[in-house]
Amino acid sequence: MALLHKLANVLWVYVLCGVLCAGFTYQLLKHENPCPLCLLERLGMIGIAIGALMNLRFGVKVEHYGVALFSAFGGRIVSLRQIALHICPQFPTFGSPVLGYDLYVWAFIVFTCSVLVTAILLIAWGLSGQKEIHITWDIWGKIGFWWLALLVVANLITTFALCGLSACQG
Amino acid sequence: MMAILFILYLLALALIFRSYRKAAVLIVILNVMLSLAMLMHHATDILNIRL
Repeated sequence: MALLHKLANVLWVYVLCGVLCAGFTYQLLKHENPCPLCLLERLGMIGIAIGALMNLRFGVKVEHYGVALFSAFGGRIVSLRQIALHICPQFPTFGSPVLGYDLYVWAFIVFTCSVLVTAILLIAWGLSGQKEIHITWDIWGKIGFWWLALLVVANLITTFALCGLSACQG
Repeated sequence: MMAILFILYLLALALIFRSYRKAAVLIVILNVMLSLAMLMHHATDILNIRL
């Protein structure tokens, strides 16, 4: 059971970091500055990744999955709001689509998958009957930690350059 | 304000690094609530209304 949770949480952090990295690269290469809602979606993904990282750092605990769920809940509200803003036919969308879907639709899919992953892991944990699951803080967790920290710093710098300390009007 | 939310997440990561688990949980929860407050601000700003 510990191996399942470790693999799932490591993979979860790496996938979220990959998505954040792709969004950031897209921003730099295509010179498409993120809108305020896109930044809030990134914040939601970082929150989920932090929940999964806490499982890797301190062992699996319900409140860590709670943190991931709470962040996914916030992110889903933001991405649904953005989908609703652009849902009318002939209404201009924001940014270029990736594989046929706009980035905020992808963000909604990521948040929904995160909720599903949390549900599956919690059910698997409950069925196993184990009270505590200990995970060793090894190199895979550390790579995820520093990768996420780097992404947060990079996003902080670009957001500060774009909006300063304001609420990012856009 | 948006940059401050990223700073708070950086603080949460620092707390995780230093093993302050409960403080990190609280920071993330606070950050999600601030994000939702920012969403409300953005929504009312577009409609040009004030709640």
